[in-house]
Amino acid sequence: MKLKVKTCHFNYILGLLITSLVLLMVLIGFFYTPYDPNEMNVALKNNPPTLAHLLGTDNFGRDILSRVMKGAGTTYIIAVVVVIIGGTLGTIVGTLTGYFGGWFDEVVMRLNDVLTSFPSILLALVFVSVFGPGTYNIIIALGIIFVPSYARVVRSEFIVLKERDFVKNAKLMGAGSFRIMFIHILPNTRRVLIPALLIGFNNAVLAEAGLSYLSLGVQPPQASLGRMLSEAQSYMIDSPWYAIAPGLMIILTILGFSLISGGMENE
Amino acid sequence: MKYTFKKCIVFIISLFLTSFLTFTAFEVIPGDSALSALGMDASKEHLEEYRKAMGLDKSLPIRYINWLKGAIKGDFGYSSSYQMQMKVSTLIKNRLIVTLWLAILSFLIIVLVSIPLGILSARKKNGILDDLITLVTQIFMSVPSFFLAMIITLIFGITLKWFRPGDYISPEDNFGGFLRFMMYPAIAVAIPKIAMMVKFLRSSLLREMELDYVRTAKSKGMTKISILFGHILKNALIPVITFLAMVLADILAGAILVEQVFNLPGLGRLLVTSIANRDYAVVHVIVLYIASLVIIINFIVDLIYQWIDPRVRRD
Amino acid sequence: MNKNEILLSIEDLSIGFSKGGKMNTVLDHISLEVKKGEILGIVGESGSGKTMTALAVMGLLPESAKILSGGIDFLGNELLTMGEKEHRRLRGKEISMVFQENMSSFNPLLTIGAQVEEMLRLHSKYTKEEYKALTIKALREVGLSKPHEIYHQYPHQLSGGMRQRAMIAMAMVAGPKLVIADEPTTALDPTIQSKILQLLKKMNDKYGMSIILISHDLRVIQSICSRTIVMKDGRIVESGMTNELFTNPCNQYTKELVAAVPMLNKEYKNTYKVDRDSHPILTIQNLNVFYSEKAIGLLGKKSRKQVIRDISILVNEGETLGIVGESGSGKSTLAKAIVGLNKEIEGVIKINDFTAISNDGSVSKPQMVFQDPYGSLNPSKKIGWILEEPLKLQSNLGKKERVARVNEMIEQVGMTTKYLERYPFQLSGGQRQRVAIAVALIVNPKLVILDEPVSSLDTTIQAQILEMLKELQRKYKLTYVFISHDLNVIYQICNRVCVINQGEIVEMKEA
Repeated sequence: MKLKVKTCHFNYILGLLITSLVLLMVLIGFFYTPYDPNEMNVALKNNPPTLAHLLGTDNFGRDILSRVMKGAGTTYIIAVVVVIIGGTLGTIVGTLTGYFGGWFDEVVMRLNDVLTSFPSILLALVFVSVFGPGTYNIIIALGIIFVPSYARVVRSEFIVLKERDFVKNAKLMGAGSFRIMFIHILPNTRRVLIPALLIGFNNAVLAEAGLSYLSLGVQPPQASLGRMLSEAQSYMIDSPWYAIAPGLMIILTILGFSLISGGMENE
Repeated sequence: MKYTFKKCIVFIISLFLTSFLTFTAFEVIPGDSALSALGMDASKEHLEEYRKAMGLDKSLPIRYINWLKGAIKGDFGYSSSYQMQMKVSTLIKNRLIVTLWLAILSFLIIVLVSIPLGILSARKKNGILDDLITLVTQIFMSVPSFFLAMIITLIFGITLKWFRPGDYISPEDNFGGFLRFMMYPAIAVAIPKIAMMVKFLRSSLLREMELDYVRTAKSKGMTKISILFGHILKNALIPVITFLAMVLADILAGAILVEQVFNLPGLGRLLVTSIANRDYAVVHVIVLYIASLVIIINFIVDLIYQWIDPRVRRD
Repeated sequence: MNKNEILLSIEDLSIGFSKGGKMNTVLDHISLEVKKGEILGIVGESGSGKTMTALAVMGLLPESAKILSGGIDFLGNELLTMGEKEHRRLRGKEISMVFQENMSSFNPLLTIGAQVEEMLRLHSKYTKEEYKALTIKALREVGLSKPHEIYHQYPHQLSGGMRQRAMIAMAMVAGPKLVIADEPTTALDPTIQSKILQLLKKMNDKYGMSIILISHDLRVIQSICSRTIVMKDGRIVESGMTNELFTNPCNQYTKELVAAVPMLNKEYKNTYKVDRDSHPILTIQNLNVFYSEKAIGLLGKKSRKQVIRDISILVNEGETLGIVGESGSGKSTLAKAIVGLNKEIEGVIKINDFTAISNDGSVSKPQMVFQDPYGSLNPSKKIGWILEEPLKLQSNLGKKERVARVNEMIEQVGMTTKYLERYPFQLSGGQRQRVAIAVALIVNPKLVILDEPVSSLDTTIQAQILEMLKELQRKYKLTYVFISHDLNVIYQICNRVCVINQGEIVEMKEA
């Protein structure tokens, strides 16, 4: 019993540590990178890691560390916007359907069931193939695709919470539906909503990486983690470090956030 | 019986709905396919003629019904690449087999590895082995399958030379060689999912172990092992079935990326090239295939539920 | 069989859990004996250690539990030092257990027959047919009328009472010498409770096995136990023959326990006299309340059930009307209809509140106190916020006045202002119920509906809350409608009692 608490705690701290490290790197990358991430230098083509270029250089002689810092920033911004779009719309849909129920809820949730049973990358591919590739399109596509999962989480919490006596009490006091939904009930969903947002961020990072790897997301020369992996693919034999740096960055990002959200759920 | 009937109806409706939605998405939204087929400088008469020939002058429901008639017979029209010479169905047939094999292999690996590991980690709860499994699962869950595929290529293909990267062996030429080659992408797809399954199964088992019926079984004088296999496991697997269905759908999606890394001639690769070439006829059919597979998987899960859980059977 | 032969003896048993380096003792030097063929009652509140004692005998203690001293002897075998393998052989065959939770104690995926039969398979050797025949015989023996059908049914297909009978069949089928029944009737309705107790008594008479009956409810213990042990905080405070113990309790705690159950002593004490000429504050005429079940799926039909049938009640100002009924009788539905939470009603509900608007401008609508104080307080808000919210919504007081009112109210319910900064989960059940009462009273209502306000609390806390309610009633001239399934609680506080069953009033009398 005691040991378990300790390991959970350990994992949580480890997650915080990894995440703050990765976040720090990305934040610095917004203002300063060791080299211009898009500056090409043929003389430095495919160099392994050296003191000057800690993570080596790519096929155009660009500094990989700088590109990872900048690229992770792009990936993070995409993921954050996706989570904001999906989380906000999903919370609103989940709140309304969960609280009011009825035929509206029936219809929306059936639609939700259908959408969530399909892998999100497939839905994103459908969207991109119809509306064309590009950063904005994948943000919109992923944002919409993430709505059902949040709607479902929030809705199921609301269905339980709205039957609780404190909600009946609030009705007796004369609180309006809007106040009950957003002031009385919604704060109680944070126990599941916050971990869901973190997991959503992870999924968005993965989806961006996947789509950009398929050249359907972020377009060159802009760097993103998926974009870099796509470029690195052809140079696996000569310069494997090119792929490993952005790959590790994705792994650390996701590991950190899932350790944190795991620790939150255990509390 | 009522349950089965209801699920069958839902199943058929979902298939129709999906086919209609994908039809709308790919035959209507992208714009005038006559224009894209014949080019911007085609004459009006030419365009009219083409539209008439392809049935594009009819209303949307009629076009859908005409398309559906063909689709049921396996005729999905022509690909817009290859100068309209290639039937979509021929293009897809061999690719589908590759992707299905990839999905089946990785699914088998996932089930065979994760169920024993999950049970082991739940049984050794709080032990060092359990902690190790927990940490390792967390790490592997964080690795995107296509990056894992790149690493596997680097280690087993380039460094150890156990297989030749990009050198696909077709099943007609050498089935054994095909399977051996397919093991690598299958493992790449499977590993993150194994980690997820172990974590899920472990928490499902631990949740069940806390329940009252386990205490009842102990009070009967049963051994821990027979309680685990006689009572807990079946209950713990119920939520796992839904999870497995989700994993299977995810495998199909994961395959799209992994096929790209291993240069496999599967559906995923075809999908990506077709998207790049704006070959909507092909994209449409691939999406429809994968969506139908997902619906079929969910239908089977519903049936399994009914078979395993008496509470579902009643209502 | 020698009736005085000792079957089980617990000697100086202490058990604790280590928590943060400190040992938290849950059983403190317990000694007791169970004779062959007797029914021993163990009574105590939650946390008194009665269940821990049972688990120790069964060898089912949580892994984190530590045995600090003592031993348990069962027919010459020392249970605590015995190997797991030997202990397992005793479990079920020699000592078996009946649990409280009759639904969750069965495996939902296996039939009742399979689960009862499993007990036999573990401890005896018969052919397949014999196993089945013996199982069906056992099911018939516990009063299940169609044992062949029930053999093939799943737990969820039976009623609570039937499941509890099946659990008794499971506990008895291998012919144990000792059965431990841990709150076997607590989850059941009162009428079924007594039937299950009679069943236990019958099995005891017929097969002569000893029974340890554990309950928080003195009446359960009194009905079938020959000897009783009273436990509190892990200690045995008193023991003796049941009748003697309850008529002449020696220990202070036992006295309190007995006093809290006045039916045992047949003395009712309601002190507050109602003015017979007072005005009716609540008039209910020919009330019908309905409940629509949600349509299942898109094709499902909506079904409408009538929960309350043609009820008429007059409640006078200043009195306490008790409404008693079993679960499902419609008493909670009635409460919700009175306060306006149930919209599907026919008939008249009139609240004649002559001081509808009080000096501070707050409107006095009837307020309600709910059963479960864990559910009625918003878990994500502080107590201060929770108390202030009704004032924000129902009065036009300024911020300062609201805070003053909150501070005043929290003291009225016997707590201090330091609790205002806490969250509900930081309070005990009794404290939460005090806060819930404060929330109801803060807007100066005249009429308060109390829906099982003390049912989830321990007996001694119940008495404190009831006392406080009486005091508040005197102070603020409140009228109570007090809903409960527990006649003892009703008799302690109500002037008039209205008994309802299946949505109709079956009796109306002075308390």
